[in-house]
Amino acid sequence: MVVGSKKQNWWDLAFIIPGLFLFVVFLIIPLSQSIYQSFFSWNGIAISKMKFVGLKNFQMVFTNEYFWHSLVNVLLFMAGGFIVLMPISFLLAIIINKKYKLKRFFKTTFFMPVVLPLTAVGLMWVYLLFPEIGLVPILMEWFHLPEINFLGDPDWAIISVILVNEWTFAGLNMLIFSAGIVAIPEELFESAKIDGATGWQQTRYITFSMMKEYFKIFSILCITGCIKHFNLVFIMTGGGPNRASEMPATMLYNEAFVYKNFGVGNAIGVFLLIAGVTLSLLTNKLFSRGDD
Amino acid sequence: MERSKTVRKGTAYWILGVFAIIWAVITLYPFIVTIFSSLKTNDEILGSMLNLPRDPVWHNYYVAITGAKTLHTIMNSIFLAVCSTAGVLLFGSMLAYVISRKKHKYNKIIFTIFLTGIVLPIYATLVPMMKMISKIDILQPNAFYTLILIYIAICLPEGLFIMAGYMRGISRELDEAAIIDGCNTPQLFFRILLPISKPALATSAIITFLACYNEMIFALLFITDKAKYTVSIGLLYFVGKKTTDMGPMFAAIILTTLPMLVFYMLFQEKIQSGLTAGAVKG
Repeated sequence: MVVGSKKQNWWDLAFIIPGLFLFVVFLIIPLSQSIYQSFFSWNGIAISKMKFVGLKNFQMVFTNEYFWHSLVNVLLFMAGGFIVLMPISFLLAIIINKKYKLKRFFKTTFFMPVVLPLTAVGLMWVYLLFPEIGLVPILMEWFHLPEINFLGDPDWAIISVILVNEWTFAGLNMLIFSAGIVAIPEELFESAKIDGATGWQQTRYITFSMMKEYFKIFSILCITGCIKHFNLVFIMTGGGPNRASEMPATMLYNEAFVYKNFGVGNAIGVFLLIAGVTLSLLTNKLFSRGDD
Repeated sequence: MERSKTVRKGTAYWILGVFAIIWAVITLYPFIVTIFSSLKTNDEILGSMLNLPRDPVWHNYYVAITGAKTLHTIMNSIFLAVCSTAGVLLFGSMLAYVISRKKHKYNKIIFTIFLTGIVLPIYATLVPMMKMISKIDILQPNAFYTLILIYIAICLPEGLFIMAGYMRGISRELDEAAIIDGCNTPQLFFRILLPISKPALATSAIITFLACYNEMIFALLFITDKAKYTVSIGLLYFVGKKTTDMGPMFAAIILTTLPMLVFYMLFQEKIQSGLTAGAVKG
Protein backbone atom coordinates (compact mmCIF):
# COMPACT_ATOMS: atom_id res chain seq x y z
CA MET A 1 0.00 0.00 0.00
CA VAL A 2 2.92 2.35 0.71
CA VAL A 3 5.18 1.86 -2.29
CA GLY A 4 3.74 3.17 -5.53
CA SER A 5 0.35 3.69 -3.96
CA LYS A 6 -0.46 6.66 -6.17
CA LYS A 7 -0.03 4.53 -9.27
CA GLN A 8 -2.17 1.87 -7.69
CA ASN A 9 -4.95 4.35 -7.05
CA TRP A 10 -5.02 5.21 -10.74
CA TRP A 11 -5.28 1.54 -11.61
CA ASP A 12 -8.13 1.13 -9.15
CA LEU A 13 -10.01 3.95 -10.81
CA ALA A 14 -9.38 2.43 -14.22
CA PHE A 15 -10.83 -0.83 -12.91
CA ILE A 16 -13.96 0.83 -11.63
CA ILE A 17 -14.81 3.19 -14.43
CA PRO A 18 -15.97 0.93 -17.29
CA GLY A 19 -18.52 -0.97 -15.21
CA LEU A 20 -19.68 2.06 -13.30
CA PHE A 21 -20.02 4.05 -16.53
CA LEU A 22 -22.26 1.44 -18.17
CA PHE A 23 -24.33 1.08 -15.04
CA VAL A 24 -24.88 4.80 -14.65
CA VAL A 25 -25.60 5.42 -18.34
CA PHE A 26 -27.99 2.53 -18.83
CA LEU A 27 -29.66 2.29 -15.46
CA ILE A 28 -29.21 5.21 -13.12
CA ILE A 29 -29.68 7.98 -15.71
CA PRO A 30 -32.78 6.38 -17.30
CA LEU A 31 -34.23 5.86 -13.84
CA SER A 32 -33.74 9.49 -12.88
CA GLN A 33 -35.09 10.54 -16.25
CA SER A 34 -38.23 8.50 -15.67
CA ILE A 35 -38.87 10.57 -12.56
CA TYR A 36 -38.27 13.83 -14.43
CA GLN A 37 -40.28 12.78 -17.48
CA SER A 38 -43.23 11.69 -15.39
CA PHE A 39 -44.16 15.37 -15.11
CA PHE A 40 -44.37 15.71 -18.90
CA SER A 41 -46.66 14.32 -21.51
CA TRP A 42 -45.10 12.95 -24.66
CA ASN A 43 -46.47 11.10 -27.67
CA GLY A 44 -43.42 8.99 -28.35
CA ILE A 45 -42.25 10.71 -31.50
CA ALA A 46 -38.61 11.60 -31.01
CA ILE A 47 -38.76 15.08 -32.57
CA SER A 48 -41.99 16.23 -30.94
CA LYS A 49 -41.64 18.28 -27.76
CA MET A 50 -42.52 17.05 -24.31
CA LYS A 51 -45.16 19.15 -22.59
CA PHE A 52 -44.98 19.95 -18.88
CA VAL A 53 -48.20 18.80 -17.24
CA GLY A 54 -47.30 18.79 -13.54
CA LEU A 55 -48.94 15.98 -11.63
CA LYS A 56 -51.52 15.20 -14.29
CA ASN A 57 -49.90 11.89 -15.24
CA PHE A 58 -50.10 10.74 -11.66
CA GLN A 59 -53.67 11.90 -11.43
CA MET A 60 -54.46 9.85 -14.52
CA VAL A 61 -52.79 6.80 -13.01
CA PHE A 62 -54.54 7.02 -9.67
CA THR A 63 -57.96 7.64 -11.17
CA ASN A 64 -57.54 4.74 -13.57
CA GLU A 65 -59.58 1.76 -12.42
CA TYR A 66 -57.30 -0.62 -14.31
CA PHE A 67 -54.39 0.59 -12.22
CA TRP A 68 -56.21 -0.22 -8.98
CA HIS A 69 -57.13 -3.54 -10.46
CA SER A 70 -53.47 -4.19 -11.24
CA LEU A 71 -52.69 -3.64 -7.56
CA VAL A 72 -55.34 -6.21 -6.67
CA ASN A 73 -53.59 -8.57 -9.06
CA VAL A 74 -50.30 -7.90 -7.26
CA LEU A 75 -52.00 -8.92 -4.01
CA LEU A 76 -53.32 -12.06 -5.71
CA PHE A 77 -49.80 -12.81 -6.92
CA MET A 78 -48.49 -12.46 -3.37
CA ALA A 79 -51.32 -14.61 -2.02
CA GLY A 80 -50.49 -17.25 -4.61
CA GLY A 81 -46.88 -17.12 -3.48
CA PHE A 82 -47.72 -17.77 0.14
CA ILE A 83 -50.65 -20.16 -0.32
CA VAL A 84 -49.43 -22.24 -3.27
CA LEU A 85 -45.75 -21.68 -3.96
CA MET A 86 -44.43 -21.72 -0.39
CA PRO A 87 -46.00 -25.02 0.77
CA ILE A 88 -45.18 -26.79 -2.50
CA SER A 89 -41.56 -25.63 -2.58
CA PHE A 90 -41.15 -26.51 1.09
CA LEU A 91 -42.51 -30.02 0.54
CA LEU A 92 -40.26 -30.46 -2.49
CA ALA A 93 -37.30 -29.32 -0.39
CA ILE A 94 -38.09 -31.95 2.24
CA ILE A 95 -38.43 -34.55 -0.51
CA ILE A 96 -35.04 -33.94 -2.11
CA ASN A 97 -33.42 -34.19 1.32
CA LYS A 98 -34.94 -37.59 2.07
CA LYS A 99 -33.37 -40.85 1.04
CA TYR A 100 -35.43 -41.69 -2.01
CA LYS A 101 -33.93 -43.82 -4.73
CA LEU A 102 -35.14 -41.29 -7.28
CA LYS A 103 -33.80 -38.32 -5.29
CA ARG A 104 -31.48 -37.12 -8.04
CA PHE A 105 -34.15 -37.50 -10.69
CA PHE A 106 -36.62 -35.56 -8.54
CA LYS A 107 -34.21 -32.70 -7.96
CA THR A 108 -33.26 -32.41 -11.64
CA THR A 109 -36.88 -32.57 -12.78
CA PHE A 110 -38.33 -30.14 -10.25
CA PHE A 111 -35.73 -27.51 -11.08
CA MET A 112 -35.87 -27.89 -14.86
CA PRO A 113 -38.57 -25.30 -15.70
CA VAL A 114 -36.47 -22.60 -14.03
CA VAL A 115 -33.69 -22.76 -16.62
CA LEU A 116 -35.86 -22.93 -19.74
CA PRO A 117 -36.74 -19.74 -21.65
CA LEU A 118 -39.75 -18.23 -19.93
CA THR A 119 -41.23 -17.29 -23.28
CA ALA A 120 -41.19 -20.94 -24.32
CA VAL A 121 -42.69 -22.04 -21.01
CA GLY A 122 -45.38 -19.35 -21.16
CA LEU A 123 -46.24 -20.10 -24.77
CA MET A 124 -46.44 -23.81 -24.02
CA TRP A 125 -48.95 -23.16 -21.24
CA VAL A 126 -51.01 -20.82 -23.40
CA TYR A 127 -51.71 -23.78 -25.65
CA LEU A 128 -52.01 -26.35 -22.87
CA LEU A 129 -54.74 -24.14 -21.40
CA PHE A 130 -56.39 -23.37 -24.76
CA PRO A 131 -60.18 -23.98 -24.54
CA GLU A 132 -61.32 -27.34 -25.94
CA ILE A 133 -58.05 -28.37 -27.57
CA GLY A 134 -55.63 -27.82 -24.67
CA LEU A 135 -54.38 -30.54 -22.36
CA VAL A 136 -55.87 -29.08 -19.18
CA PRO A 137 -59.40 -28.51 -20.55
CA ILE A 138 -59.36 -32.05 -21.97
CA LEU A 139 -58.33 -33.52 -18.62
CA MET A 140 -60.99 -31.45 -16.87
CA GLU A 141 -63.62 -32.77 -19.21
CA TRP A 142 -62.49 -36.31 -18.35
CA PHE A 143 -63.19 -35.67 -14.70
CA HIS A 144 -66.46 -33.92 -15.57
CA LEU A 145 -65.26 -30.63 -14.17
CA PRO A 146 -66.91 -27.42 -15.40
CA GLU A 147 -65.42 -25.85 -18.48
CA ILE A 148 -63.14 -22.89 -17.80
CA ASN A 149 -61.69 -20.56 -20.37
CA PHE A 150 -58.50 -20.08 -18.38
CA LEU A 151 -56.87 -17.19 -20.17
CA GLY A 152 -59.97 -15.83 -21.89
CA ASP A 153 -62.11 -15.38 -18.79
CA PRO A 154 -61.31 -12.09 -16.99
CA ASP A 155 -61.84 -13.75 -13.60
CA TRP A 156 -59.53 -16.65 -14.36
CA ALA A 157 -56.76 -15.09 -16.45
CA ILE A 158 -54.61 -13.78 -13.60
CA ILE A 159 -55.16 -16.90 -11.50
CA SER A 160 -54.06 -19.09 -14.40
CA VAL A 161 -50.89 -17.05 -14.89
CA ILE A 162 -50.16 -17.16 -11.16
CA LEU A 163 -50.46 -20.94 -11.12
CA VAL A 164 -48.15 -21.26 -14.13
CA ASN A 165 -45.74 -18.94 -12.31
CA GLU A 166 -45.75 -21.21 -9.24
CA TRP A 167 -45.31 -24.26 -11.48
CA THR A 168 -42.26 -22.65 -13.08
CA PHE A 169 -40.53 -21.38 -9.96
CA ALA A 170 -41.34 -24.10 -7.42
CA GLY A 171 -37.95 -25.64 -8.19
CA LEU A 172 -36.02 -22.47 -7.46
CA ASN A 173 -37.72 -21.89 -4.11
CA MET A 174 -37.31 -25.57 -3.34
CA LEU A 175 -33.54 -25.05 -3.41
CA ILE A 176 -33.79 -21.99 -1.17
CA PHE A 177 -35.64 -24.05 1.45
CA SER A 178 -33.34 -26.98 0.81
CA ALA A 179 -30.33 -24.84 1.72
CA GLY A 180 -32.03 -24.28 5.07
CA ILE A 181 -32.79 -27.95 5.64
CA VAL A 182 -29.22 -28.96 4.85
CA ALA A 183 -27.97 -26.43 7.39
CA ILE A 184 -29.84 -28.08 10.27
CA PRO A 185 -27.39 -30.17 12.29
CA GLU A 186 -28.18 -33.89 12.10
CA GLU A 187 -27.60 -34.29 15.86
CA LEU A 188 -30.77 -32.36 16.58
CA PHE A 189 -32.81 -35.07 14.89
CA GLU A 190 -30.78 -37.82 16.53
CA SER A 191 -31.41 -36.48 20.00
CA ALA A 192 -35.06 -35.81 19.22
CA LYS A 193 -35.41 -39.42 18.13
CA ILE A 194 -33.85 -40.61 21.37
CA ASP A 195 -36.31 -38.43 23.23
CA GLY A 196 -39.04 -40.20 21.29
CA ALA A 197 -40.22 -37.42 18.99
CA THR A 198 -42.34 -38.57 16.06
CA GLY A 199 -41.52 -37.61 12.49
CA TRP A 200 -44.14 -34.88 12.53
CA GLN A 201 -42.93 -33.51 15.84
CA GLN A 202 -39.40 -33.38 14.45
CA THR A 203 -40.60 -31.45 11.44
CA ARG A 204 -42.74 -29.15 13.55
CA TYR A 205 -40.24 -28.32 16.29
CA ILE A 206 -36.88 -28.71 14.58
CA THR A 207 -37.28 -28.11 10.85
CA PHE A 208 -39.79 -25.25 11.09
CA SER A 209 -38.10 -23.37 13.87
CA MET A 210 -34.61 -23.82 12.46
CA MET A 211 -35.80 -22.57 9.10
CA LYS A 212 -37.33 -19.27 10.11
CA GLU A 213 -34.52 -17.46 8.33
CA TYR A 214 -35.37 -19.15 5.05
CA PHE A 215 -39.06 -18.42 5.33
CA LYS A 216 -38.05 -14.80 5.79
CA ILE A 217 -35.91 -14.90 2.67
CA PHE A 218 -38.78 -16.46 0.75
CA SER A 219 -41.16 -13.77 1.98
CA ILE A 220 -38.84 -10.94 0.97
CA LEU A 221 -38.26 -12.43 -2.47
CA CYS A 222 -41.95 -13.14 -2.96
CA ILE A 223 -43.22 -9.70 -1.93
CA THR A 224 -40.59 -7.68 -3.80
CA GLY A 225 -40.80 -10.01 -6.82
CA CYS A 226 -44.60 -9.80 -7.13
CA ILE A 227 -44.78 -6.01 -7.32
CA LYS A 228 -42.28 -6.04 -10.22
CA HIS A 229 -43.71 -9.04 -12.05
CA PHE A 230 -43.90 -8.61 -15.78
CA ASN A 231 -42.79 -11.51 -17.93
CA LEU A 232 -45.33 -14.29 -17.56
CA VAL A 233 -48.35 -12.01 -17.59
CA PHE A 234 -46.98 -10.25 -20.64
CA ILE A 235 -46.30 -13.50 -22.48
CA MET A 236 -49.52 -15.30 -21.60
CA THR A 237 -52.21 -12.62 -21.61
CA GLY A 238 -50.53 -9.30 -22.40
CA GLY A 239 -52.63 -7.95 -19.53
CA GLY A 240 -55.93 -9.01 -21.08
CA PRO A 241 -58.65 -10.01 -21.60
CA ASN A 242 -59.96 -6.49 -21.39
CA ARG A 243 -56.99 -5.57 -19.14
CA ALA A 244 -58.21 -7.90 -16.39
CA SER A 245 -54.80 -9.45 -15.73
CA GLU A 246 -52.69 -6.29 -15.82
CA MET A 247 -49.81 -5.93 -13.38
CA PRO A 248 -48.30 -2.46 -12.80
CA ALA A 249 -45.32 -3.32 -15.00
CA THR A 250 -47.41 -4.66 -17.90
CA MET A 251 -49.65 -1.63 -17.58
CA LEU A 252 -46.58 0.60 -17.85
CA TYR A 253 -45.68 -1.17 -21.08
CA ASN A 254 -49.19 -1.04 -22.50
CA GLU A 255 -49.82 2.60 -21.60
CA ALA A 256 -46.48 3.68 -23.06
CA PHE A 257 -45.95 1.47 -26.06
CA VAL A 258 -49.47 0.42 -27.05
CA TYR A 259 -51.56 3.49 -26.17
CA LYS A 260 -48.63 5.92 -26.59
CA ASN A 261 -49.26 7.66 -23.26
CA PHE A 262 -45.60 7.84 -22.42
CA GLY A 263 -46.15 10.26 -19.57
CA VAL A 264 -48.59 7.90 -17.89
CA GLY A 265 -46.14 5.05 -18.46
CA ASN A 266 -43.43 7.03 -16.71
CA ALA A 267 -45.75 7.86 -13.83
CA ILE A 268 -46.38 4.14 -13.35
CA GLY A 269 -42.63 3.65 -13.55
CA VAL A 270 -42.15 6.14 -10.72
CA PHE A 271 -44.82 4.35 -8.73
CA LEU A 272 -42.98 1.05 -9.30
CA LEU A 273 -39.74 2.66 -8.22
CA ILE A 274 -41.16 4.01 -5.00
CA ALA A 275 -43.22 0.91 -4.25
CA GLY A 276 -40.28 -1.36 -5.05
CA VAL A 277 -37.84 0.48 -2.82
CA THR A 278 -40.37 0.91 -0.01
CA LEU A 279 -41.32 -2.75 -0.07
CA SER A 280 -37.76 -4.01 -0.05
CA LEU A 281 -36.79 -1.66 2.78
CA LEU A 282 -39.95 -2.57 4.65
CA THR A 283 -39.65 -6.33 4.22
CA ASN A 284 -35.95 -6.28 5.04
CA LYS A 285 -36.66 -4.31 8.19
CA LEU A 286 -39.70 -6.39 9.07
CA PHE A 287 -37.88 -9.65 8.72
CA SER A 288 -34.60 -8.02 9.81
CA ARG A 289 -32.30 -10.30 7.94
CA GLY A 290 -28.66 -10.06 8.94
CA ASP A 291 -26.10 -9.25 6.27
CA ASP A 292 -25.42 -12.63 4.63
CA MET B 1 -33.06 -46.36 16.35
CA GLU B 2 -33.93 -48.89 13.67
CA ARG B 3 -37.52 -48.98 14.78
CA SER B 4 -38.10 -45.24 14.73
CA LYS B 5 -36.63 -45.14 11.25
CA THR B 6 -39.13 -47.70 9.98
CA VAL B 7 -41.97 -45.86 11.68
CA ARG B 8 -40.99 -42.68 9.88
CA LYS B 9 -40.78 -44.50 6.58
CA GLY B 10 -44.26 -45.85 7.25
CA THR B 11 -46.33 -42.71 6.82
CA ALA B 12 -44.64 -39.45 5.91
CA TYR B 13 -42.12 -41.19 3.71
CA TRP B 14 -44.78 -42.69 1.48
CA ILE B 15 -47.06 -39.68 1.39
CA LEU B 16 -44.17 -37.43 0.39
CA GLY B 17 -42.99 -40.04 -2.10
CA VAL B 18 -46.39 -40.04 -3.78
CA PHE B 19 -46.40 -36.25 -3.84
CA ALA B 20 -42.93 -36.28 -5.38
CA ILE B 21 -44.07 -38.55 -8.18
CA ILE B 22 -47.21 -36.48 -8.78
CA TRP B 23 -45.16 -33.28 -8.98
CA ALA B 24 -42.66 -34.94 -11.31
CA VAL B 25 -45.56 -35.89 -13.59
CA ILE B 26 -47.02 -32.38 -13.39
CA THR B 27 -43.61 -31.00 -14.33
CA LEU B 28 -42.73 -33.40 -17.11
CA TYR B 29 -46.05 -34.21 -18.71
CA PRO B 30 -46.58 -30.75 -20.24
CA PHE B 31 -43.20 -31.08 -21.96
CA ILE B 32 -44.05 -34.56 -23.20
CA VAL B 33 -47.33 -33.30 -24.62
CA THR B 34 -45.42 -30.47 -26.28
CA ILE B 35 -42.94 -32.91 -27.83
CA PHE B 36 -45.82 -35.07 -29.09
CA SER B 37 -47.62 -32.04 -30.48
CA SER B 38 -44.50 -30.91 -32.28
CA LEU B 39 -44.70 -34.13 -34.27
CA LYS B 40 -48.37 -33.93 -35.17
CA THR B 41 -50.41 -32.46 -37.96
CA ASN B 42 -52.83 -29.67 -37.12
CA ASP B 43 -55.82 -32.01 -37.28
CA GLU B 44 -54.19 -34.38 -34.84
CA ILE B 45 -53.47 -31.57 -32.35
CA LEU B 46 -57.01 -30.28 -32.63
CA GLY B 47 -58.23 -33.87 -32.24
CA SER B 48 -56.63 -34.52 -28.87
CA MET B 49 -53.38 -33.47 -27.27
CA LEU B 50 -53.38 -36.69 -25.27
CA ASN B 51 -52.88 -39.03 -28.22
CA LEU B 52 -49.52 -40.16 -29.46
CA PRO B 53 -48.49 -38.80 -32.84
CA ARG B 54 -49.73 -41.25 -35.45
CA ASP B 55 -46.92 -40.75 -37.88
CA PRO B 56 -44.22 -38.30 -36.69
CA VAL B 57 -44.36 -35.13 -38.79
CA TRP B 58 -40.69 -34.10 -38.83
CA HIS B 59 -41.66 -31.55 -41.41
CA ASN B 60 -42.84 -29.32 -38.50
CA TYR B 61 -39.23 -28.89 -37.46
CA TYR B 62 -38.27 -28.07 -41.02
CA VAL B 63 -40.96 -25.35 -41.10
CA ALA B 64 -39.89 -24.00 -37.70
CA ILE B 65 -36.30 -23.74 -38.90
CA THR B 66 -36.92 -22.31 -42.37
CA GLY B 67 -40.15 -20.38 -41.83
CA ALA B 68 -39.87 -19.01 -38.29
CA LYS B 69 -36.04 -18.99 -38.51
CA THR B 70 -35.84 -20.63 -35.11
CA LEU B 71 -32.21 -21.74 -35.38
CA HIS B 72 -31.33 -18.22 -36.38
CA THR B 73 -33.02 -16.75 -33.29
CA ILE B 74 -31.21 -19.28 -31.11
CA MET B 75 -27.84 -18.28 -32.57
CA ASN B 76 -28.68 -14.59 -32.03
CA SER B 77 -29.64 -15.19 -28.41
CA ILE B 78 -26.55 -17.27 -27.73
CA PHE B 79 -24.37 -14.58 -29.28
CA LEU B 80 -26.00 -11.85 -27.16
CA ALA B 81 -25.74 -13.98 -24.03
CA VAL B 82 -22.07 -14.87 -24.59
CA CYS B 83 -21.01 -11.26 -25.22
CA SER B 84 -23.00 -9.90 -22.28
CA THR B 85 -21.61 -12.60 -20.00
CA ALA B 86 -18.06 -11.77 -21.04
CA GLY B 87 -18.74 -8.11 -20.31
CA VAL B 88 -20.26 -8.77 -16.90
CA LEU B 89 -17.37 -11.05 -15.94
CA LEU B 90 -14.72 -8.57 -17.01
CA PHE B 91 -16.21 -5.34 -15.67
CA GLY B 92 -17.84 -7.02 -12.69
CA SER B 93 -14.69 -8.75 -11.51
CA MET B 94 -12.65 -5.56 -11.90
CA LEU B 95 -15.17 -3.66 -9.81
CA ALA B 96 -15.39 -6.51 -7.33
CA TYR B 97 -11.62 -6.49 -6.92
CA VAL B 98 -11.45 -2.82 -5.98
CA ILE B 99 -14.55 -2.89 -3.81
CA SER B 100 -13.65 -6.02 -1.88
CA ARG B 101 -9.89 -5.65 -1.49
CA LYS B 102 -9.09 -1.95 -1.43
CA LYS B 103 -9.94 0.71 1.11
CA HIS B 104 -11.12 3.70 -0.83
CA LYS B 105 -13.51 6.34 0.41
CA TYR B 106 -15.60 6.00 -2.73
CA ASN B 107 -16.09 2.24 -2.30
CA LYS B 108 -19.09 2.66 -0.08
CA ILE B 109 -20.84 5.01 -2.52
CA ILE B 110 -20.21 2.68 -5.43
CA PHE B 111 -21.45 -0.27 -3.44
CA THR B 112 -24.65 1.59 -2.57
CA ILE B 113 -25.23 2.62 -6.19
CA PHE B 114 -25.05 -0.98 -7.31
CA LEU B 115 -27.14 -2.17 -4.40
CA THR B 116 -29.97 0.13 -5.49
CA GLY B 117 -29.55 -1.40 -8.94
CA ILE B 118 -30.64 -4.75 -7.57
CA VAL B 119 -33.68 -3.35 -5.81
CA LEU B 120 -34.97 -1.03 -8.53
CA PRO B 121 -37.42 -2.31 -11.12
CA ILE B 122 -35.84 -2.10 -14.57
CA TYR B 123 -39.27 -1.55 -16.13
CA ALA B 124 -39.17 2.05 -14.92
CA THR B 125 -36.29 2.61 -17.36
CA LEU B 126 -38.22 1.48 -20.46
CA VAL B 127 -39.55 4.83 -21.65
CA PRO B 128 -36.41 6.93 -20.97
CA MET B 129 -34.26 4.18 -22.47
CA MET B 130 -36.39 4.17 -25.61
CA LYS B 131 -36.05 7.94 -25.83
CA MET B 132 -32.32 7.79 -25.23
CA ILE B 133 -31.75 5.17 -27.93
CA SER B 134 -33.76 7.16 -30.46
CA LYS B 135 -31.82 10.32 -29.64
CA ILE B 136 -28.22 9.15 -29.39
CA ASP B 137 -26.90 8.23 -32.79
CA ILE B 138 -24.17 5.81 -31.75
CA LEU B 139 -26.74 3.66 -29.96
CA GLN B 140 -28.56 2.18 -32.91
CA PRO B 141 -31.73 0.24 -32.37
CA ASN B 142 -31.51 -3.13 -34.11
CA ALA B 143 -27.83 -3.30 -33.21
CA PHE B 144 -26.71 -6.11 -30.97
CA TYR B 145 -24.13 -3.97 -29.21
CA THR B 146 -26.85 -1.66 -27.89
CA LEU B 147 -28.59 -4.64 -26.32
CA ILE B 148 -25.32 -6.07 -25.04
CA LEU B 149 -24.46 -2.82 -23.26
CA ILE B 150 -27.92 -2.72 -21.68
CA TYR B 151 -27.70 -6.38 -20.62
CA ILE B 152 -24.28 -5.83 -19.06
CA ALA B 153 -25.62 -2.88 -17.08
CA ILE B 154 -28.63 -4.86 -15.86
CA CYS B 155 -26.70 -7.98 -14.91
CA LEU B 156 -23.70 -6.22 -13.42
CA PRO B 157 -24.95 -5.73 -9.82
CA GLU B 158 -25.76 -9.37 -9.21
CA GLY B 159 -22.48 -10.54 -10.71
CA LEU B 160 -20.58 -7.89 -8.79
CA PHE B 161 -22.02 -8.96 -5.45
CA ILE B 162 -21.31 -12.63 -6.05
CA MET B 163 -17.73 -11.95 -7.13
CA ALA B 164 -17.06 -9.35 -4.44
CA GLY B 165 -18.40 -11.71 -1.80
CA TYR B 166 -16.03 -14.40 -2.95
CA MET B 167 -12.98 -12.16 -3.29
CA ARG B 168 -13.52 -10.81 0.21
CA GLY B 169 -12.83 -14.31 1.46
CA ILE B 170 -9.43 -14.58 -0.22
CA SER B 171 -6.52 -13.76 2.06
CA ARG B 172 -5.13 -10.25 1.63
CA GLU B 173 -1.62 -11.45 2.32
CA LEU B 174 -1.67 -12.79 -1.17
CA ASP B 175 -1.90 -9.26 -2.60
CA GLU B 176 0.86 -7.98 -0.38
CA ALA B 177 3.16 -10.84 -1.29
CA ALA B 178 2.47 -10.26 -4.98
CA ILE B 179 3.16 -6.54 -4.69
CA ILE B 180 6.42 -7.20 -2.88
CA ASP B 181 7.34 -9.56 -5.71
CA GLY B 182 6.85 -6.67 -8.09
CA CYS B 183 3.40 -7.35 -9.52
CA ASN B 184 1.46 -4.31 -10.65
CA THR B 185 -2.29 -4.13 -10.26
CA PRO B 186 -3.30 -5.69 -13.61
CA GLN B 187 -0.80 -8.52 -13.16
CA LEU B 188 -1.97 -9.19 -9.64
CA PHE B 189 -5.57 -9.14 -10.78
CA PHE B 190 -5.41 -11.17 -13.99
CA ARG B 191 -2.66 -13.62 -13.09
CA ILE B 192 -3.35 -14.28 -9.44
CA LEU B 193 -6.77 -13.18 -8.25
CA LEU B 194 -8.94 -14.11 -11.22
CA PRO B 195 -7.75 -17.72 -11.43
CA ILE B 196 -8.48 -18.18 -7.72
CA SER B 197 -11.94 -16.64 -8.13
CA LYS B 198 -13.03 -19.12 -10.78
CA PRO B 199 -15.96 -20.56 -8.77
CA ALA B 200 -17.52 -17.11 -8.34
CA LEU B 201 -16.89 -16.26 -11.98
CA ALA B 202 -18.64 -19.47 -13.01
CA THR B 203 -21.66 -18.67 -10.85
CA SER B 204 -21.97 -15.15 -12.24
CA ALA B 205 -21.46 -16.45 -15.76
CA ILE B 206 -24.30 -18.93 -15.40
CA ILE B 207 -26.72 -16.40 -13.97
CA THR B 208 -25.89 -13.82 -16.62
CA PHE B 209 -25.95 -16.27 -19.50
CA LEU B 210 -29.38 -17.63 -18.57
CA ALA B 211 -30.83 -14.18 -17.93
CA CYS B 212 -29.61 -12.84 -21.28
CA TYR B 213 -30.60 -15.88 -23.34
CA ASN B 214 -34.10 -15.61 -21.90
CA GLU B 215 -34.37 -11.81 -21.91
CA MET B 216 -37.45 -10.44 -23.56
CA ILE B 217 -38.48 -6.88 -22.92
CA PHE B 218 -35.48 -4.90 -24.16
CA ALA B 219 -35.11 -7.14 -27.18
CA LEU B 220 -38.77 -6.55 -27.91
CA LEU B 221 -38.36 -2.78 -27.65
CA PHE B 222 -35.24 -2.38 -29.74
CA ILE B 223 -35.16 -5.22 -32.26
CA THR B 224 -37.52 -4.82 -35.17
CA ASP B 225 -35.31 -6.31 -37.86
CA LYS B 226 -36.45 -9.89 -38.40
CA ALA B 227 -32.92 -11.12 -39.08
CA LYS B 228 -31.97 -10.05 -35.56
CA TYR B 229 -34.87 -11.60 -33.66
CA THR B 230 -33.94 -13.31 -30.43
CA VAL B 231 -35.52 -16.48 -29.06
CA SER B 232 -38.05 -14.55 -26.99
CA ILE B 233 -39.28 -12.30 -29.81
CA GLY B 234 -39.36 -15.18 -32.24
CA LEU B 235 -41.63 -17.10 -29.88
CA LEU B 236 -43.80 -14.10 -28.95
CA TYR B 237 -44.68 -13.97 -32.60
CA PHE B 238 -46.77 -17.12 -32.06
CA VAL B 239 -48.56 -16.07 -28.87
CA GLY B 240 -52.32 -16.05 -28.86
CA LYS B 241 -52.68 -17.10 -32.45
CA LYS B 242 -54.75 -20.19 -33.03
CA THR B 243 -52.68 -20.54 -36.12
CA THR B 244 -53.25 -22.89 -38.96
CA ASP B 245 -49.96 -24.57 -38.21
CA MET B 246 -49.53 -25.29 -34.53
CA GLY B 247 -47.09 -28.13 -35.14
CA PRO B 248 -44.20 -25.85 -36.15
CA MET B 249 -44.94 -23.64 -33.16
CA PHE B 250 -44.54 -26.57 -30.76
CA ALA B 251 -41.42 -27.55 -32.69
CA ALA B 252 -40.07 -24.02 -32.15
CA ILE B 253 -40.76 -24.30 -28.40
CA ILE B 254 -38.82 -27.56 -28.25
CA LEU B 255 -35.95 -26.22 -30.35
CA THR B 256 -35.49 -23.07 -28.27
CA THR B 257 -35.55 -24.96 -24.98
CA LEU B 258 -33.08 -27.56 -26.22
CA PRO B 259 -29.86 -25.50 -25.82
CA MET B 260 -30.82 -24.60 -22.26
CA LEU B 261 -31.72 -28.20 -21.51
CA VAL B 262 -28.32 -29.41 -22.72
CA PHE B 263 -26.62 -26.62 -20.77
CA TYR B 264 -28.60 -27.66 -17.69
CA MET B 265 -27.75 -31.34 -18.03
CA LEU B 266 -24.05 -30.52 -18.38
CA PHE B 267 -23.71 -28.11 -15.45
CA GLN B 268 -26.65 -29.15 -13.33
CA GLU B 269 -25.19 -28.72 -9.84
CA LYS B 270 -23.48 -25.46 -10.68
CA ILE B 271 -26.61 -24.01 -12.28
CA GLN B 272 -28.81 -25.01 -9.37
CA SER B 273 -26.52 -23.55 -6.73
CA GLY B 274 -25.74 -20.50 -8.86
CA LEU B 275 -29.34 -19.51 -9.49
CA THR B 276 -30.25 -20.07 -5.86
CA ALA B 277 -27.35 -17.89 -4.72
CA GLY B 278 -28.36 -15.26 -7.25
CA ALA B 279 -31.97 -15.25 -6.09
CA VAL B 280 -31.07 -15.00 -2.42
CA LYS B 281 -28.53 -12.25 -2.99
CA GLY B 282 -30.97 -10.33 -5.17
